[in-house]
Amino acid sequence: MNTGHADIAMTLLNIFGVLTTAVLLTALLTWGERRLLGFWQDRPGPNRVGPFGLMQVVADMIKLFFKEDFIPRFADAPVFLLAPTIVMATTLLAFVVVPFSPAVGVIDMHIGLLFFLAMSALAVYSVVLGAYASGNKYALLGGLRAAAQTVSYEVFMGLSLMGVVMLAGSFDLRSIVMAQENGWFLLPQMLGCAIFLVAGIAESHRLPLDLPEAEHELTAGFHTEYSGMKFGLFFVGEYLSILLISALVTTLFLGGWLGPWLPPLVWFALKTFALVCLFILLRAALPRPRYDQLMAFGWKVMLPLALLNLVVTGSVLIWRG
Amino acid sequence: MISILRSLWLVFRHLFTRRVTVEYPEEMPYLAPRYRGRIVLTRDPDGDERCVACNLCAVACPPDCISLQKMEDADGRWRPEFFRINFSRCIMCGLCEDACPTYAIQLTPDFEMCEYDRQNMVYEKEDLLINGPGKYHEYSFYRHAGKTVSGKAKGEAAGEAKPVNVKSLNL
Amino acid sequence: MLKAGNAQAMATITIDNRQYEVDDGQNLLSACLSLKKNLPYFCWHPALGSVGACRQCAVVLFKDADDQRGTLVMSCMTPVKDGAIYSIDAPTAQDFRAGIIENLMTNHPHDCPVCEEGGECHLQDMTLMSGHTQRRFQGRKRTHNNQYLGPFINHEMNRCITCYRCVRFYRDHAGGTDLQALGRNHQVYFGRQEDGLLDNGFSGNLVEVCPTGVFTDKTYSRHYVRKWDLQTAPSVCEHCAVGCNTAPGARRDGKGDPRQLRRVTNLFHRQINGYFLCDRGRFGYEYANSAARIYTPQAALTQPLIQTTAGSAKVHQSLSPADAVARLAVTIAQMRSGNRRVIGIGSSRSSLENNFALQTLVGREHFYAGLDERSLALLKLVDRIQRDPRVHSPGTPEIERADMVIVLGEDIADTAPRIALAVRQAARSAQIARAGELKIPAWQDDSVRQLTGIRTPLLVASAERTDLDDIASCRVRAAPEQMVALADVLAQALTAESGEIHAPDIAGLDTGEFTALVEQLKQARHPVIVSGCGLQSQELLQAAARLAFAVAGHKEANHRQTDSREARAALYLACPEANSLGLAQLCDARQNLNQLHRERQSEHTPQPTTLLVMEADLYRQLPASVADQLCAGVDEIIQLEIVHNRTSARADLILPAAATPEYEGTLVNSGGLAQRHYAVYEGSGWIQASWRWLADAAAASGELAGAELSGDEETHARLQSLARWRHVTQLSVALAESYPELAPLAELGPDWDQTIEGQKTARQPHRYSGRTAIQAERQVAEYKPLPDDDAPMAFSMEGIQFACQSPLQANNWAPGWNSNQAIHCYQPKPGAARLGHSSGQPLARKAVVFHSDSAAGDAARPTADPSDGFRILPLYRMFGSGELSNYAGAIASVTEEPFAVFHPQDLELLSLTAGQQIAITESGDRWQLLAKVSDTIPRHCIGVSTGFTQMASIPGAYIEREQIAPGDA
Ligand code: SF4
Ligand code: SF4
Ligand code: SF4
Ligand code: SF4
Ligand code: FES
Repeated sequence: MNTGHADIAMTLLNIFGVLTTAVLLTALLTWGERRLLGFWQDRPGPNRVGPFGLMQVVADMIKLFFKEDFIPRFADAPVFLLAPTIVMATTLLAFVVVPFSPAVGVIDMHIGLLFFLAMSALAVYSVVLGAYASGNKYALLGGLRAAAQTVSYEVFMGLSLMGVVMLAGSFDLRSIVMAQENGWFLLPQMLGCAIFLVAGIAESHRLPLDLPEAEHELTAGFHTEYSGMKFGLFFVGEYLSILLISALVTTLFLGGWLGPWLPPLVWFALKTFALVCLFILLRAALPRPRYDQLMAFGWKVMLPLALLNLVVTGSVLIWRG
Repeated sequence: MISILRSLWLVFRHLFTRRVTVEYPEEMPYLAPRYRGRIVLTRDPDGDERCVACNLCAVACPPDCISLQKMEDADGRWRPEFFRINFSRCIMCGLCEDACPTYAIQLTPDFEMCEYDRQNMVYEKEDLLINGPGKYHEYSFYRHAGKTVSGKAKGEAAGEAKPVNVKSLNL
Repeated sequence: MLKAGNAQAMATITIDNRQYEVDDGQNLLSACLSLKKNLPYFCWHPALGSVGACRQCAVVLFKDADDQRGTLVMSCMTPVKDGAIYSIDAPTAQDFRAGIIENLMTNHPHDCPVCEEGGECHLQDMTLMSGHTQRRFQGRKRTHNNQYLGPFINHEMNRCITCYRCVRFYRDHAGGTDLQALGRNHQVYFGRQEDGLLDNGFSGNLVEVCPTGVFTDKTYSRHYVRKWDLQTAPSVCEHCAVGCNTAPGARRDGKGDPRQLRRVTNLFHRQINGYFLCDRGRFGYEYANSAARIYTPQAALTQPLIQTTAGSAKVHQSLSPADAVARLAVTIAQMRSGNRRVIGIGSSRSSLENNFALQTLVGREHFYAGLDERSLALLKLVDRIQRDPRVHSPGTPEIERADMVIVLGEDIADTAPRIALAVRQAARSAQIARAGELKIPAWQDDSVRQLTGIRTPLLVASAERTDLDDIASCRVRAAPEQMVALADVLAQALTAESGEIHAPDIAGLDTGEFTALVEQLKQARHPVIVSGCGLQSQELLQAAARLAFAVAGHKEANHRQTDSREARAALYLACPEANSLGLAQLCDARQNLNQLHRERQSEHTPQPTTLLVMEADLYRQLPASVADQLCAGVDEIIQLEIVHNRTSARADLILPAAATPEYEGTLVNSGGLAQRHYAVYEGSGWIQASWRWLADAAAASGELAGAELSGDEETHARLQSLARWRHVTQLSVALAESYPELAPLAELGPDWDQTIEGQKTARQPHRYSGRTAIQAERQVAEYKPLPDDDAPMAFSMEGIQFACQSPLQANNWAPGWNSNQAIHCYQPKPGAARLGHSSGQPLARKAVVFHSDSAAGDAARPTADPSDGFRILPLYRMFGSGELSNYAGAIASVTEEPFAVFHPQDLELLSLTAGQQIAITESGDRWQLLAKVSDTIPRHCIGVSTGFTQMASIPGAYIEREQIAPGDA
């Protein structure tokens, strides 16, 4: 019984620990991204509120919370309200399968990777429903793009991970990390990693693949009609997915918490942070492709590459016995 | 692919370059005299209003934020009865200054004109008119125009001959 | 129109290596402009022809296809020749034109920013078109002193380019004498001998004719805005019954000044005004801005104390429109329940729709024209004559081509000025016809005018001197009876196979002259007879009609004209007000003010009575004592009015009515043409069209009456339809259904929702400025423009800006053509009817043969001895006789004081002196006038100024000697 209680306590600690850390980090990320962008654009970025402008996060939160909770007359109110919560919920749920360190991690599922794929597939409903419920032509266009983009990139996102699964022989993320004791999967699965990264960007519709938002063409795309905290949820959802994708890349390709000298959690955090920075750098440096280019790229380049990766990995494994 | 990596690298390098922005308002940036900021109406070297209410600035203005009404004073000059710029619409493009045939309307290096109430962004002639000639010190339209104003009869403008006496025989 | 049958000969010409088919017989400049080529010109004007003075229109003419050099010719002086080869773009031509304009500009002042012409300056346009953008000339500029030319026209001689258009228009076209080309060489001066008012009634056209800013509109300058800042819509001049089309320009004031109307310019209508307007029409617009303008509803104060101090005139106080409507609604509700009688008085200066709304409100039997018995009878007579199939009302081009004109009694120069200008052109038709025989085209103005001594026969019979006297081949000054006799003898001479015709006994008309007249009339193929209501003589109108019938008979017998229209006689009958004929369609002759007065005197109804007066001044129509009785005999006077007048002073409730440029409606001109005028601007304050006030009140009364719906069914039905009307076009359709004569109203113009390709027509041009600032003083956020419920037009820049193919186009502009000369871009060729046509439909009056009835005669002379009594001859003035234009400041400043003109012997007889104030009394009424002397007025007649504000109605037709006495000093 005692162990049972301790387990429950441990689990609860893990759950809330992961939850708060994820949300807090996200909040920090909004500030971090802007400062980094600032540096890369030869300007300081937000540096006025609090030390290093850190309180900007708080200021923004206060602002978002106190904005008028506005639902347009022409919107489908229940769906309109529901949509932003979906993205938050699914992304946070996907975090449960991430093994942060040997001791930290909410749950170890046999089908951990599949669970993640399922959750990220669900997230698209948030965008599509939100867009549809807005009753706005820009939102609708954004929603359509999101649907098409997610469906297309989902396909090879899954495929790109199969190499890792074959190598590790498991869908359980913890086993996958353990399987990298002798070397990160980044090397054998270079292609898979790259494909997963691209698909991850597309899934979280981050720049440069933020076509559902594309503010130059679609005002603000699917969240044109959103404001206040409802917009905030979409916003936070996006940063959560950055974290999530970075954490997953770390887990799947960069050996998770494995690493010498430093504690495992620190290794995990460092690797993830580097990836987050990469995300931000991509945003700072690359222009957005045209929508048709994006689709063509997905189907005509990424998909064949993912398949190739799969076939090669499979063949090598069979050849090796 | 290479170009993408190259862009990433180039942008990344900016982490280590100097910032180009300054910490306004602690540090004031240099603004050139021809900077396009708050608009003023100037006076000619004799201290008279330069604006002759020709409406050219108003028609040149892309957001249509200048409005005025011509009136004619006892001294024969055209003047704006009112001259209004709605700065909440102005885009500081300077086309009004370009269009002005008298150098009356000029943009100045001052952009600090925020207000809490948008209504306060509406400037009338009293708010716009300054006491000097602005960037152009010498020009006075009526010294060149053919129209008679008090103190300048026909034939007294720059480059004008004395008026013809139609009734004389030596034409 | 007369040429409609003949197919126009065509010529094929080559311009800059492209072939074009153009009408033969015109000059090359006009051909190029009809091809929409940008060819600069100054001195040519479609109505004035070519003189080749400015040399700006040079093009190159090649001998044949091999000729590479060609010769420079002035296109305005070159007739198009079939097969000829020209070039506009040839470098020689371009250089020549650039050189000419550079020369013109050497003396031009540095004035554009302070020049009223700027922005619509033909000189600016042509300078740009010729490519002269940089001044090279360093010498001194020749200067001129200006002249004071009166309150209408500003003079700034330095801007002249000596194109001679002004004098050619003023002297050659309009017959003025006081504007001249003075001086010589390059110092020619266009002005008067000395400062003073330009005395020709068409002087205002100089503003549009002069291609530069020498002559500009002084009234416009006082509230000047540039042309690109004016919103405009097609309108019809409300100052007389000719129905000239105008393009009023309006702009809201940025300081909340309610005066929005800025000016009036000509709107080309080929059949009526062509390129020119008279000065009453051009400068009369200021009434809409006058101090007497009513902007808010007003109610008379009822406190007894104030009332007693104010006498019969009441003291008024503004009230809110809702309250005003409620008050009118109470009256209407009482009428519905049968507890009140409401008498409607309609207006001959307001639209058919307004009158119809009033008629619908009060019922046909309670609707009276706001005219006295005499005036309405005259109008009904005009209407009956015009229905006769033997006559038709000629348009301006037809009058201009007439080969004989007979003006019977009407002083058209003052009552229908634009027609007088047409008659003036007719005086030259013989000269032009002769030129035609000599193969000189009509546009060769100078050559045609060399043919001196050839004049079209023109008989002017008038009570007093008129402005047409100088071109009359035969002048007769007579009392109306004598004119009747003259017309009848002429008619007789035409119809009688043979036999002696004796000249009537008129002083100054000898037998020789008379015989010549008869001969000319017999020869004439297209004679035009002009008369009108001016002398207020029904017999004269009938005589004019009889003469016209005789002409028609003669035409048929002798000229065998095939075209049925050709066989009809052209008879122009001038009416007094812009909608006189329209009002005449809505009521019968008994529905006049005198009749109403008599009825009110004799019967005594138990119910209280309301007089609902719409845009009419009872004191203008009736002697003050009669009007007083009429007003005193009712319990309530409600007036819908534009400007305060003596009737509104007595009204208990005044509602501000829209002036013509502020609402949409239909007016019927003297020729029986129904024309629609559109709202140019929204109107300030609480102004709205009269019919809207009535409709609002009818709707409100429905709610009031709701419970006690007694009264009769028919009244309710009427009021319900009135309350339901939302768009003025619905009233037009209802009118068309109720009155067969007005059936064309249904197709008069586009309905309010009839957009062009889904778009409305914009009233403001694409360069309209100050949109986001003009109202920012009051509120920085922009106001939404008011919707227009009556026409597919927007009170904004949104929509089609230059709907040149639609009758809604009023702004004269085309790329490169900012001045009014742009009109040729809207014409298939210069001078032809606008593309898209002007609105206007002839009334569908049933043809009924007219029988003159002696019963409808004039008042008989009361005394047998002529030396004992005097005949009153109404005299008119362009400035002074117009009800509304008298409120215009500039016009009021040049209006004479009311006068009476006596023959010198009569003056002596009455022992009065010229320049003295006299008083005429008639059954309790008193008219005070300035005595004037004139030896041209017939004996025993007194010419009395008519329609003047201080003295609107005139004493009856005859007065006795005792009624005239010296007046107060
Ligand atoms: S700067 Fe540009 S926008 Fe501002 S008033 Fe001048 S023309 Fe208008
Ligand atoms: S352009 Fe110049 S002179 Fe003309 S109205 Fe504007 S400020 Fe005045
Ligand atoms: S006439 Fe025309 S060109 Fe001459 S000053 Fe006036 S606007 Fe300018
Ligand atoms: S005043 Fe005007 S119309 Fe007359 S000659 Fe000069 S420019 Fe021509
Ligand atoms: S227009 Fe031909 S010479 Fe003037």
